[in-house]
Amino acid sequence: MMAAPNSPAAQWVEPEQSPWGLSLQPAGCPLCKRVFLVQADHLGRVCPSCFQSKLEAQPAWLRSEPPERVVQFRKGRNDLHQILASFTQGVWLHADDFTPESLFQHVRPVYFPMWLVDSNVAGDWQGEAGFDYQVKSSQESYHEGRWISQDVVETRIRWEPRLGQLMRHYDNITVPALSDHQALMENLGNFQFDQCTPYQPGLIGTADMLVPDLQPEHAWPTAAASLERAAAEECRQAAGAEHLRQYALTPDYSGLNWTQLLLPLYISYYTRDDGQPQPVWVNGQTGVVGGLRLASQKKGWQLAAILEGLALALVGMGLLAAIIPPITLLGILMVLAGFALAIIGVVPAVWPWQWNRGQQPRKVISR
Amino acid sequence: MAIHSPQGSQWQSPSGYQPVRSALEGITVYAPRTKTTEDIVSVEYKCPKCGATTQYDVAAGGIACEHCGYVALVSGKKVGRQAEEFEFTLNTLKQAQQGWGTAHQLLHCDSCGAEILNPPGALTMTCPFCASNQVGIRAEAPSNALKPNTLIPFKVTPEMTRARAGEWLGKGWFHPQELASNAVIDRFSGIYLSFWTFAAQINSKWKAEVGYERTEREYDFSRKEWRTRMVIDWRWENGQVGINLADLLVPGNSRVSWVILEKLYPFNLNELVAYAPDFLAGWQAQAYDVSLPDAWEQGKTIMRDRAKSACRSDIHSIHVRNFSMMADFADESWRYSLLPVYLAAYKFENKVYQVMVNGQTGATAGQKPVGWWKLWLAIAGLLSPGVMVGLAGLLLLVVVIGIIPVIMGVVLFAIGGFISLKLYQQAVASEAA
Repeated sequence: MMAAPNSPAAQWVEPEQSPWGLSLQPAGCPLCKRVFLVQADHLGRVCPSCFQSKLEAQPAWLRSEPPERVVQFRKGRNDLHQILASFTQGVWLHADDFTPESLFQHVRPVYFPMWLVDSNVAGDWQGEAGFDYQVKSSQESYHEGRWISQDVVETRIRWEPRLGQLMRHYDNITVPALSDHQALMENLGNFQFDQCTPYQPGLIGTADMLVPDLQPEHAWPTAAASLERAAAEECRQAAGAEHLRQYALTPDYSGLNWTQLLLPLYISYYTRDDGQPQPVWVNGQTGVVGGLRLASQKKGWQLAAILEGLALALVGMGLLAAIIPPITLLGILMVLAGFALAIIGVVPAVWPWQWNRGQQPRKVISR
Repeated sequence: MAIHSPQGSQWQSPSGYQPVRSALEGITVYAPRTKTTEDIVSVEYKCPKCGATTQYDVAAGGIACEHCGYVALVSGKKVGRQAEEFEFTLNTLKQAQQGWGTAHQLLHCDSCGAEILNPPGALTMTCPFCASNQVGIRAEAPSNALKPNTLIPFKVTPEMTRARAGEWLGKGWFHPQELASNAVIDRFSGIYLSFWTFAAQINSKWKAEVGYERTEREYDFSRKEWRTRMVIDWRWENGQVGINLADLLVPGNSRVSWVILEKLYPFNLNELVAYAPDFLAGWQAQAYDVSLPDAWEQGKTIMRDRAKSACRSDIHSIHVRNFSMMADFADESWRYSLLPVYLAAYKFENKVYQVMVNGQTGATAGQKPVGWWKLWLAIAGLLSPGVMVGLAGLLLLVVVIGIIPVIMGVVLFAIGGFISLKLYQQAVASEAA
């Protein structure tokens, strides 16, 4: 693994300490090992990450500088209710607490971090610059003894080698600070980073804050790749090209500075058949909601059992009725209805399995 | 954000690269060095031994001095049909519209210092004061791509041209017998003429009603016999044909007769060499005055007709109606080359006629006067059998059997008329330029 040129300093923050001018203190979940900064009265509440254990005060390994930027919550509680209502719609045999009300009751606002990296980059670069150009082609049609000509303009790319030197400074390159950042983003969709504001302690409110579990030395390879991508994009611009490929840079990094960007997130959950919480995430800026919308197999079995029991009773009564001549016809109809109900009764048993098989993390974009 | 400009650094760009404009401060950009118009300068030809003017000698295959016998062989890089081709970019087409300009160019003779007005489009010059040969493609061309980048060197020597022309003048029965002996041919001027060569892949889709012959038997009740007749069954058909056309030549000079020029074809384009000014030393060379878009229109017309022929030959019947097609051009490319031609004029009975010789193959073509009395005699001879047999038939009509000679006379007259018409067209074409 490539080492960060300058490993930034971090320090232990004791449970009773409040870093960065906040009234929050470090706490952790003994089960999922997540570390948060929470308000003192949030200690002992269920962990907003795994929803299985309670938060306990514990020291945290934190950078001394406060976060640099914050993307604020744009979706308020009213929006959230609508988002959750639309998320829970259309699931038959859902868990008892898979309702907008229940999800809303469990919801917790959380800020999760990304690293913001500033760096000077110097080095030699080379690549193939692609320039768009237009070519005139023709389509000729012959009809009733006459030719009709039509010009067709195509855009093609001319690739030419380019090289040179780069000495640039890059500010606020975003780099994941959580090991499950990618999974989280798949559920939340993109954030509009251009709408972030400078950090102020007052912006955090009652939200909990997730503490990075990827320290800069571990996040550095991703940061270096992001810096190189930014440099490649600028080399393309410098060359006046529309495209760039086969890009190579021999970079020297200096003046590295690591700060944090906080992104808004609502986390909630509902309970699966096995009693485990099933998390639901809502992007606090855009309202994109992600998570599995599971049906309850247990409820399916229960409904199926009731329907099959009714079917059995109908068949039994029908058979009895069938041997009594005045109501024989009614008995036969009851037997037939019983068989039909028995067949229908299979559906609730099978449906949750079929529905859950086809479940992919669903994104609902709020209006 | 630039941290500081790298201009002052010790970094050395690789050889063959040159700095180009960078749109961002803090990033330098180098691109492969390209030949600019300034790189191509006028070349003066003087003998390194005696200082006399030198020129390209076809027989010697190099730059030769007539005075002291000095010869420097010219070995042009043979590129043949693989010579670089260009696409029809909008940019090139726009530039090509400008042509080489029409203004006369003031050229400076490096040898004697004279300032000479050169006619438009002339790529070479012989100084009228010191007779030194100059070759230079000037910056007048709108872009490098629109300068000739290939040529075929002269293979036929000026001495051979007179014999070729004499031989050509003696050919053909309907020309005056004394043409070969009495024609006064001026000096043949060797000139490199501009040609555009075009290539394209044409994918065509055709649709037509195709008729298939079928014989049908039917009973004729009036004659009480079976008769056979041919009927045509029509049905809609369609198909696709792809043709690849390469190296289609279109002349780039409008001041020479294209009719005569096309009779000099083909040029062996496998002999194309990369442009080198040495081949032009002491020879005339003319830049194009038919612009690329205009020439391409000509080329496209020829190409689409070939595509149409290919589609028609895809139909396996002679009966076709409602034929339509769509020709999709792809991978169109062009090349600008100089090809060698000798031009001359000759006088015969106080009239001036043009003659040209292919400088590579020796093929000769031009205008030839026609001995019209010979032609009219021939036409009379061709028509007379029909007329006579027809007249005889008319006389014999009185005794009924004349109908057969009349029909024979008409047939013979038609055949004679057809051949006469062809001869007449040939004769007119022979005199036309």
